[in-house]
Amino acid sequence: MFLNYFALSVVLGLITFLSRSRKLNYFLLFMFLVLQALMVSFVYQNIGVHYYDYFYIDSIGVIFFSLLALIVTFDFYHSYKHLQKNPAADMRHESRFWAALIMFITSIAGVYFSDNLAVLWVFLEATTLFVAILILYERNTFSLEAAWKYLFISSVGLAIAFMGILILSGLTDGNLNVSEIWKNASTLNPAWIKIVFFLIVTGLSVKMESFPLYPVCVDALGIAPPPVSALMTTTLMNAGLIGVLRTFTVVLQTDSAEWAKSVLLIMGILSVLIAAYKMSHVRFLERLLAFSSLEHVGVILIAFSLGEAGLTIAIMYMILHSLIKASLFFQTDKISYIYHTHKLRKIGHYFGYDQFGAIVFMIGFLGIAAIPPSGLFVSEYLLIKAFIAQGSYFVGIELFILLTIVVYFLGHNIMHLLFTEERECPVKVLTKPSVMESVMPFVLLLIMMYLAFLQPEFIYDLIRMAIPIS
Amino acid sequence: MEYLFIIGYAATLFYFTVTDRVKKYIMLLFFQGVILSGITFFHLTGMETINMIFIIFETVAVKAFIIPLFLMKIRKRNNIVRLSEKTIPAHYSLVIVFIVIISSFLLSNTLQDLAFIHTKYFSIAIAAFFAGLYFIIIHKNVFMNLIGYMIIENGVFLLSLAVSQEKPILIDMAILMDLLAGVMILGMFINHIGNTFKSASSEYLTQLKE
Repeated sequence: MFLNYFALSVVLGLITFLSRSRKLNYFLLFMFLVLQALMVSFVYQNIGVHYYDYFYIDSIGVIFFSLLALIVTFDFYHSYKHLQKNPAADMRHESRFWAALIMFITSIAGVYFSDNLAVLWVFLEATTLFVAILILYERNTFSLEAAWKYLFISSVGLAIAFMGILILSGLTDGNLNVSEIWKNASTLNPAWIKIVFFLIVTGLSVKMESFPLYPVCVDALGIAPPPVSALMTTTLMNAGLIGVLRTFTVVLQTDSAEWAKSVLLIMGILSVLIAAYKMSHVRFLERLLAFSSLEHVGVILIAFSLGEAGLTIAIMYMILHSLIKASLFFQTDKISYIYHTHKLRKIGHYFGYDQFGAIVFMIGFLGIAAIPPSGLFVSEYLLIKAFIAQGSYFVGIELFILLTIVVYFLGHNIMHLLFTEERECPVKVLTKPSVMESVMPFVLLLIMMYLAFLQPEFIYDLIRMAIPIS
Repeated sequence: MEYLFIIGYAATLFYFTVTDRVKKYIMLLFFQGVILSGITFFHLTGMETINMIFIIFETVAVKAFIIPLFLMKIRKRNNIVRLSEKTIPAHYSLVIVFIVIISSFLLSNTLQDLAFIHTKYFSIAIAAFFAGLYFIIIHKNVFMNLIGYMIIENGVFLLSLAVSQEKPILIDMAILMDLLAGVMILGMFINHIGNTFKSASSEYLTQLKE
């Protein structure tokens, strides 16, 4: 089943690429969703199994693949709606979009289950190529600029990460399987491990959407069709974080562990700091959400920097963030369509036009701002508490202040959007909102609340199993 | 022979900074491909035959011929002949690349436990990486950015030779496929940018900002 999943996905992607029939495309997309569901069931039953030396089904892979399958199901519906509202130039163009989407999702799945870091790198590089095609969908000068920048900087970033992987292969006699390296990692040279970690984390920052390579991600998220942005800022971001997490688990066993924690802490703090600053003068709704993602990935990296204690918080945070952010991006597509713009100053009084959509957006805002009933509130509270408990008062207080600033600017923009009149020459004729388009984002938020408040035991068991520290 | 390859490779890095003819840049990439195949052939002993054949194919066919020919095609299609839009004069760049190369050799000498790595190739690989980055920064043209990316990729390939750890052939093939696909798609984007803006200058790609 494992190899069949990838083989069948590639076949479905190829047929979709060649197809010139809309009905056939929808059938193929449905088959892909069925395949995703079958794969979820398969991986749940095969946790701990290795495949072909390069893949390993661990609980991290299972958690995030299940999340991917869930978000993709919603994403296909919103992509379908987006393509209805913004039709492709011709069928060839539309088929190319769907094919790239299938291959993009398959590549992300490959990252989740890669045990070998070189294989993980290959899948990450593949995500770059497919996502560039998706960003270019609108085929205007903005999408061309965003796609080029993303493709180019991602390629350079991944080349940097690959240098780290190559040096690691030298240190481990060619063995790049994380499940094997980390057992004997304590014997690795600490100075070289620092170089390896630095190169991999810097390179993968383009996938995590964190400091230092975040600008191309913000541009891409602001321009790509919102259903594509939803996947990029959730499942792809998780893929980058998993790449860093797998390397970090190796480094944690060496004498360079404290140094690596400091690197993640600095990257995390800088990401939150930049997000707080950028949000103060952001002009577009999608970019506001993109900077919110920068803030969240910063918090996740800060949680990683706590080591074993922070990993549970980080993984739960990643799951909840994915559900909320995907929901918001889906809703954004609807808002941009109603107002014919995504410029924040031209959007206002959303409650007056679309009450249900506005309620969903409001809950989503509470979610990303980590205000109760958001599940992120508990994670951020535990994180700040952990820093204060270990005597890092400065980090705890600094994080608290930065998060407060982020909530202020986020709230300022979203409250204007929801409750006040448009601040700048509003569009006169608004499109009638569709209730159905807010149902799916709402379901995602309900799932988030279920996970945060009822805390199902099987999720926590999987998270506990996901922390491979001796 | 080892020094000949290293000096030859370093010379290509210097030449990249002083010339401004696009054809020459592509020729330099061809020379880098030839040098990489020479290094593979003369210095990678003890490797399995199939891996050896694959790496020689990768360097000779892909790096020395396929990619330069593809770049030449893009150059002709977009009518890119000579570029004098560097942001830093060539003589300054020459000094900077010289400093990069010397620093890379000094860095290699300060790192401990180099038993697993071929120090001289490692040094020039690091120098190539930084020279490629520098090349990208000083040029305001997307085609030049692609050339800079290829300098970095060749540096990364040299690093893989310096580490000289065999990877399974499947992984090597996947990495090569990714690289080729990446270069092809970047090339297609350059064509698209050329068609849209009637120029390959990156100055047109500055619309996305706050």
